[in-house]
Amino acid sequence: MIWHIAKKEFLLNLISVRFTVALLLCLLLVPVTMVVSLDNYKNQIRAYQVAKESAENEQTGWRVYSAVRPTLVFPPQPLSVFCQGISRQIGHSVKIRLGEQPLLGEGRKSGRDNPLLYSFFSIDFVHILAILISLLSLIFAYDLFSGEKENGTLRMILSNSTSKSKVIAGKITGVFFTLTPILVLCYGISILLILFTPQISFSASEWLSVLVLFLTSFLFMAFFVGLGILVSIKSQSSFNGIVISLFLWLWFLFLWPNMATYFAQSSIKIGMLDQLQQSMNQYDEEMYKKVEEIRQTLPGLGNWWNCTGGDDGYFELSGSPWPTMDAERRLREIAEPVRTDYADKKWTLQREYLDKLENQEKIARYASFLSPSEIFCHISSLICATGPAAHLGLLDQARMYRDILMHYFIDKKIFSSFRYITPQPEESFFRTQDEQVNFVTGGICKNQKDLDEWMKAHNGSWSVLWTKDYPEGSFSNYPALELSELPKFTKFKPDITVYMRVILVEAGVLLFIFIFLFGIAYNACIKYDVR
Amino acid sequence: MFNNLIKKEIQLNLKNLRFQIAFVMVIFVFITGSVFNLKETRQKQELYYKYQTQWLDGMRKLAENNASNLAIQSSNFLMSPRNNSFISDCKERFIPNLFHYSAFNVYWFENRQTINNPLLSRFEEINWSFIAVIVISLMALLLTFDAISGERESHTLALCFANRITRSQVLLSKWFSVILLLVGTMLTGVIISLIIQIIGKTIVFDTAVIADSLLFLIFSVLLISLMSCLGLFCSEVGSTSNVSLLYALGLWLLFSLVIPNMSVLWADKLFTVDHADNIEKQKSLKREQIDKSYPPGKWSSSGNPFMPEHKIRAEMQMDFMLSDKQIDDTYYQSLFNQYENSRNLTAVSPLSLFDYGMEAITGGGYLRFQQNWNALHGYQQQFYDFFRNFDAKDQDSPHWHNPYEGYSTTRKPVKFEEVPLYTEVIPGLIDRVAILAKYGGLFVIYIFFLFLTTYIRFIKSDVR
Repeated sequence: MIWHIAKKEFLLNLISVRFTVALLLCLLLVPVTMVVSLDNYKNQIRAYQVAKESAENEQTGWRVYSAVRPTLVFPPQPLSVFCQGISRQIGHSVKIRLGEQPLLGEGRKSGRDNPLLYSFFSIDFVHILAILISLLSLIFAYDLFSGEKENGTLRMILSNSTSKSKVIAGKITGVFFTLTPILVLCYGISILLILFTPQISFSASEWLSVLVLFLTSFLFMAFFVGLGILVSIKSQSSFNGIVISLFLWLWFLFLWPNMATYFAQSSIKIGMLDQLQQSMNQYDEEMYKKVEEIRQTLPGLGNWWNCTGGDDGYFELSGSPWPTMDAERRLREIAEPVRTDYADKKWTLQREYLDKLENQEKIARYASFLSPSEIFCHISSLICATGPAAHLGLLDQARMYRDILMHYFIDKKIFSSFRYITPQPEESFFRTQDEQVNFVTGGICKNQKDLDEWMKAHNGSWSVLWTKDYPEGSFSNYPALELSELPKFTKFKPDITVYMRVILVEAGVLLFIFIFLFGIAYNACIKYDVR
Repeated sequence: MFNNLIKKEIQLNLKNLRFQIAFVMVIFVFITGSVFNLKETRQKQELYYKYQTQWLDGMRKLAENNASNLAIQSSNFLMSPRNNSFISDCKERFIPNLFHYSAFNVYWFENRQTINNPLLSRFEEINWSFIAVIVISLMALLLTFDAISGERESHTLALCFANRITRSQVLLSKWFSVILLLVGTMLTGVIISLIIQIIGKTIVFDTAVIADSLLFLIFSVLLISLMSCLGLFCSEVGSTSNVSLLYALGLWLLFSLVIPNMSVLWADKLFTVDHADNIEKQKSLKREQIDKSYPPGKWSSSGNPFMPEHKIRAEMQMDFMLSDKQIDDTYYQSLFNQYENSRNLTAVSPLSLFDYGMEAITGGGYLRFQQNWNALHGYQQQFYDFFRNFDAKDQDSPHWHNPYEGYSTTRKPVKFEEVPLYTEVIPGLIDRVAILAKYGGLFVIYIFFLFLTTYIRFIKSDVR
């Protein structure tokens, strides 16, 4: 009997205008959304390839170990075409510095070159599915009972030897029979578009994730079917039913999620990243003062022939005499451990800031869980590895890699080697400054004193004296470092099995709510007055 | 008769469950949105004040140290939080609000938020504009979707025309009654929100606030008129009220989701711009050419400002900057064109059009960004003139202006109070009125054609 009722419901729905409009909505909304998502993904791939190439080219230019600060570039997640999560608002690369722990992703946030385009509205497949499926579930379920009661057909059905429980079971099954093909169609269209996009390919685990996403969508759909049935039983007329259903839809899909997140943002103070940077800069100033004090104790500094420097202790020197080279080497031997110590101090401030960000996000997430669509979207972001958990997981890996790199430098005594600051072999250093001046000026100035006097007489300019070819003084004449033994970062993909427990718990919550709603609806149906 | 019809429609809707739920929902959202906005505004103002204080202190230190360092240092100007963001945020959380400049050039712009958490999913702030676009627009459809089809189904429409009432009177009464009800709802919400903002001391009840609120209400009337007319159109086209509802919901989803969501796709496919890395390559290539054209020794430096190599270096750096500027200015203009053209396409959606109109009303969003970007260029010239005059007075300076380094210009400190500072520009009334007129005109055109279509169909339709 349940099967007959379900079949009747399904066939009636199939020939209704509702079903046609539902199909049209799917055929319009889903392909448009997927095309936009795929286009976004292609742009992200391009941006990733450019960033990766830049990071690799940077590595080929490392001649000294003080320059070795790898940039980790995380590839875009293929499943982000389904759920973009926070992937478009966070950078996808991380620079490994000795003087600072990585905090959040850096670099370009999305594949878009135009920052103004961030202001445009953007919705992904999961969100459009949530809106569509919830709406269609309510539209097909809101008059299951109230509509038949108004038509008088419910009385006729129950005048037969059909129990109310079989009727409700049959009707629910009928609605599921109607909506499941629509859900399958949505996924089918998106998978077809993915298969026809050469730039994207899924691995077996990713296809499995798509299946898990589909099952979660089914649970989400079940919730709204349950809600629609409850509204249908409780409302006095089908008109009231649809009105209440639509308002509930508006509340759960549009109002509550925004209100919950807005509440979290306005209630929890975080502060600007600039202010965190300012506090960290104070630690940097303290560190520079300490390094300066160390520098004052070291004789032989100065007289740089060719030098350059940069961020995070990068310093490269060539062509200088041995006293200068040795003094710079000894300076780094003492100063670089100071830099890493200050990185740990800065991490305390960074950790505090990150904790605030995570707390705010947690409050927004828990508050928004009153909306089943947010539970569904959160589960989807975990499955697609595009949510905050995945990103923070990658950053934890990046921090562990930084520690490994640091220990490599310490174990190999790289800070105290000449190769930390100069590509020039030690045996080619000039023994003294005077020896260098004499060589470079072709004997015009015999020593530094002569050169100083010449410069004083010529407004500091001495380039005319540089008559001798001095290849050892030029960086470009030296090869890049041999880095085959340097520890490599390998964990570019978030591990979603870590989040399986959370996914199962939240899916369980959706299932529990559906069963609870169904329980109330069943109870109400048994007591329903069909007259 | 017409007034009686409107009165009757209003009374019917007032007793109707959907209006009652809608009213309660709208007021609730207004209240919660205003309370959250209050807290957020205070936070933003506090953080902005801290940021500004730090920025000014940094600039002061530079000025007290060395005027050249002040001139060449890339400063960041951050736009202040708007007091009327409770009306509409104009997507300012996503639009660039930080400009990098020095005395020599305005370099770049980016988005820097005082309270944005990158771990939070993208969301919309609950302000008046959000309520109008999401809640009121849907309400307008829900109140009108069965105005004609419902009466046709229940045969009351035929009964109605048995009296001496014209079809235009019936149609207009239904339309006007919904407009009046929703405008009344909006007005109630706006008044409550203003009271909350005034009690919370985030705004002062002055002519600016009154003007902004009135303009918002007038623009909302246009949106409500259009959406309720759309509901009437669906009601006329649909054979039953269920079908009309589906048409109305489908159109609402089209205007609120599909069209805005395609904006980035259109930007990419129809209005392409060069990639940022290609621009960097172009700049790098030009720099190499410029570098090669200068003699050796150009990168030498010493403590003596008058060292001849410093003059070569200054000229070369200036050439670098001007070459970069030429490429950047062309590139930025292409970015602006891409954005503006994409926006023009999405103006097909009345909900997007409403959002753009909010920029003109509140003086925020892209309009504010554009005006400040242009004004900053004017300020930069003023700053450069100040620095050049200051440097000219220093006998110890060779006056070889270098946009990136202070080797060959004055090393004397300057009084910070004498340094011209940039003051943020509020978009002018004429510009705002012009934009409002444009978008308002578009609304009127949409309403006219939609109502005309509905009217013609209704006049010709069979009410039995």
